[in-house]
Amino acid sequence: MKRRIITLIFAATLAALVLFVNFDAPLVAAPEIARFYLDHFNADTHTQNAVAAIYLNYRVFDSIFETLILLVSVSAVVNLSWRRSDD
Amino acid sequence: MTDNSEIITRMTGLLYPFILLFGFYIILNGHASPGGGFQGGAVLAAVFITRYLVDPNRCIRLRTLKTAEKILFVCIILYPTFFLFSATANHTELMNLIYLIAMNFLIGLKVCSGFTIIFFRFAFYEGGIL
Amino acid sequence: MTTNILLITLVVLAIIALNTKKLRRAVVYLGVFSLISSFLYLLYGAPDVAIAEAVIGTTITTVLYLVALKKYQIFTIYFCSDPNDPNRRNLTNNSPFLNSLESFLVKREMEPQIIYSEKPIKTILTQDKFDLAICQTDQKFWIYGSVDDYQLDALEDHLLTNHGDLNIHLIRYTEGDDNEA
Repeated sequence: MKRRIITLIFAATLAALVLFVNFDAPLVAAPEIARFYLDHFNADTHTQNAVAAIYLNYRVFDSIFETLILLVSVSAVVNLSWRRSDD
Repeated sequence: MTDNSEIITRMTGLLYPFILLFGFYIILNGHASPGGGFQGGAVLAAVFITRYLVDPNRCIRLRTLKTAEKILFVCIILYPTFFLFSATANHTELMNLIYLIAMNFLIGLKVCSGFTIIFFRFAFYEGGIL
Repeated sequence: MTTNILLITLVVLAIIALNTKKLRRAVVYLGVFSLISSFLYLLYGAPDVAIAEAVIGTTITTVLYLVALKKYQIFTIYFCSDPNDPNRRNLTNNSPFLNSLESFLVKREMEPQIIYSEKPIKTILTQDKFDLAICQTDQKFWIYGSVDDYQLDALEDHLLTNHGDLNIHLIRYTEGDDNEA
């Protein structure tokens, strides 16, 4: 019971802190960067979709390392399982 | 999952080609509409996972999938390095379109094989006794 | 307005998923949670993230959790008795002791799997993979279980209250490297 009350107080203070810090934060973090991408993506990459232009042209490393993370996790799953044998 | 429900088996067997078609639509139309390689690959992996619900005793050949994933990862690294970062490649509209579609397709296949390997490895190789 | 209602629903679903007794229901609540959050992403104007959340959070994670629960539930019991003992037959067939053990495990959402064996208990302890090994000599029961198994305390309580007359000895042994079997 005591632990429950302490956890409850901790969670409530954490929630209050987060709400206090982020109360009047803007919804878009940096509007000028978003405006730059929206203005220039069609001339730079000839696409209709701004999201595809960002993750395959401006930020290719994002996609590459995302797939690398998946590859590493697959090899971790294969190597840490009970049966080591393949197929 | 030894005793399967008849309803789930029939309905997922019926929905199987439609989910496959939807996944390929998301991948190949990703440059023009919402979606893309990662989302479409996850949908394709969901197809294999629902196949596990239909027929839980059949494993698939994970060794070929593993090799395919590594080869696809090398392709994903090589295509942008030779297309985007080189000054000599011509960045016309057609070449950019081909680049986007091909990269979405490669990423989709790689994500699909990765999720499928993780799931089937977990379902068939883990836990010893079943 | 719609987004506020959905956000409150998210918090309520998260609390319900944490406070349910049965893990299977918590998995279903988590699936509903990610479905609603994917709808919220759609309302905020991010259809890409919504597709990814709907596929991964609702389909793949739910099926993976259900398979994991199914794997975790199987509780293997080795029952070995002395082959020279004359009255072992009437215990292996339909004994009240094993029946109450099975009903206890079923009540705790596990699936008992009993393996009868005539090997001596030493070889079973060193070689095989099990959750519980029961050895019967004369009228004594020797029950072996791993130290790491947290189900064992509740099992001991249950056995001592219901079968106090059966002369049960419960032995916790430290598990060696039998995971590689």
